[in-house]
Amino acid sequence: MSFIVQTKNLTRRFGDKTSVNRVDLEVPLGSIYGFLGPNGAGKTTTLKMLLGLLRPTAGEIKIFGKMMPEERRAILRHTGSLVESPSYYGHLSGYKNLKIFSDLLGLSSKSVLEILDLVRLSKHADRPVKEYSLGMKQRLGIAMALIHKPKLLILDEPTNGLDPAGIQEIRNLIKELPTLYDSTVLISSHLLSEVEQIATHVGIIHHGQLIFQDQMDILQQHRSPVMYVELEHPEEAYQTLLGKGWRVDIENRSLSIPVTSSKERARLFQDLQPFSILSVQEKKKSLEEIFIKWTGMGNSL
Amino acid sequence: MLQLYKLEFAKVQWSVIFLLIALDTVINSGLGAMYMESFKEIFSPSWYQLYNQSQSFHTLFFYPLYAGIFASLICYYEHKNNVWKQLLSLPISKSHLYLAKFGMLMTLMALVQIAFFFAYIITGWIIQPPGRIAWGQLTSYAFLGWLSIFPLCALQLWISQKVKGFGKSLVLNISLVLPNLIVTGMVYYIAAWFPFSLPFFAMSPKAGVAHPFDPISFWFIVAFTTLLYLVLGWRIFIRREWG
Repeated sequence: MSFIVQTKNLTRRFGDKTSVNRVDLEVPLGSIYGFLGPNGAGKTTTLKMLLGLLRPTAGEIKIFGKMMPEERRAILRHTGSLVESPSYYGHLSGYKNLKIFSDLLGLSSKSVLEILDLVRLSKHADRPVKEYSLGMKQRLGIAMALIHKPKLLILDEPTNGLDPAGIQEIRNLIKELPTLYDSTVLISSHLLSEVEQIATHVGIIHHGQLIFQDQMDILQQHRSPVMYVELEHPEEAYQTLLGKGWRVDIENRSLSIPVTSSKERARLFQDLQPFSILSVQEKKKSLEEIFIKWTGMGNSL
Repeated sequence: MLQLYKLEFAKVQWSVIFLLIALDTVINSGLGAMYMESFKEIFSPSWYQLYNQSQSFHTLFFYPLYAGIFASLICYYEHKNNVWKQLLSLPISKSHLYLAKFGMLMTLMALVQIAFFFAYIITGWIIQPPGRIAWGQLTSYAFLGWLSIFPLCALQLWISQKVKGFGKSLVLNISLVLPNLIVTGMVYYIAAWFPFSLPFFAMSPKAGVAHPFDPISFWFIVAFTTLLYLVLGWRIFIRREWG
């Protein structure tokens, strides 16, 4: 498999604090790679090193098979990015901001109009950016990242500060990118729910260390859901399930039972049928719970 | 590189630039005309005297001050919403970006100089002092004055890429320009190491009156300090991290 982004032992220290610790990132071609971790885990620092904005303390970075920072300009030619809050010239219009970036990239004015259309800012193109709402600024930032149809798109928490409609919009846009521009997308987030809806691959960083990296499906298996079932006769049901070999817990009037497959779920319902089910809830482990499970640390977040 | 230079033109707030240039020209031409009038008993009025009276505030105060203000202005927009980060994520050369900014700063300083001399000629044309305009001398003052601001611009650009606040750098600039009155009173080979004082030596007919003045070693110091500040500022810029 060919990797668009590949790091080896990537390490960055600030003073005596190690923000990124021996990270081996592998982002496959054409993937949407969700880079997950709580705030302060080292996501932004990693992304900034990929862009050459920060220098690694140790380790190496290869993007498109080229070395960063040695071949910085060749890499950046095909890379679009939005890291931290969007950057813009506030006193200039949205159009002018994009025009500046398109000129520096040697693109035509047509590409500015196209990208304004794509992020639905055409109507506001002539207003100064300082008057834009946060969501509009964010969309402008994404437009700046996309204007040259990059092969690699690096987005750092792109839905930060957006309203639900805006989040949905950005999510749909990101999903389209691999087909639209043939792009590989590397997107960071601190929300598992956010990433699981769009990502094909996942890397999880915690305290600067990559503690998980694989396909999304593999992560999903680690998140076996738990069924919460409310019953008329919980006590009897509890005994029966225990007798049939289920791992079951009882709390108030409801039972909680982990299930790993839909087959198992069907079997559970069959076993519970005699006890009049009042309600059923299915809950998956959150990112926090996965962290706790994998790191054994309760209060680390 | 040319593209980056054009970008500087596209984003700078020309209204601010023109306002500052207008201030420099109006104040100094006005002062020049006023002083020539007040001192007419001692120095007989002439085109030369009008220049002599107009230039002192320009060379000692406005011109070096503007180098600092414009330097922070052309870095201000990048500092403001951290556009540095976005610009440097583009496939552009950091060195070209730095040199484009220096080129822009020198262009603005040329505009200030042209406006100042233009205003001097207009003022003279209005009050019609006796004598003739020494065109050759004037052109050389204008050009040498511009050359003499190179070291200060190189130094200011170095400072401006670091100092984020516009107000902070303004205070710094004013406090460094103020000692100029004393510094320019020193012998040139000491004063010339203080880049704020250079325009006075290059443009003022009063320079070299109190002390002997050797143009060759003076311009050697100018060239040397320009290179020194430019290279140091540029090295720091390209090695910088954008955290």
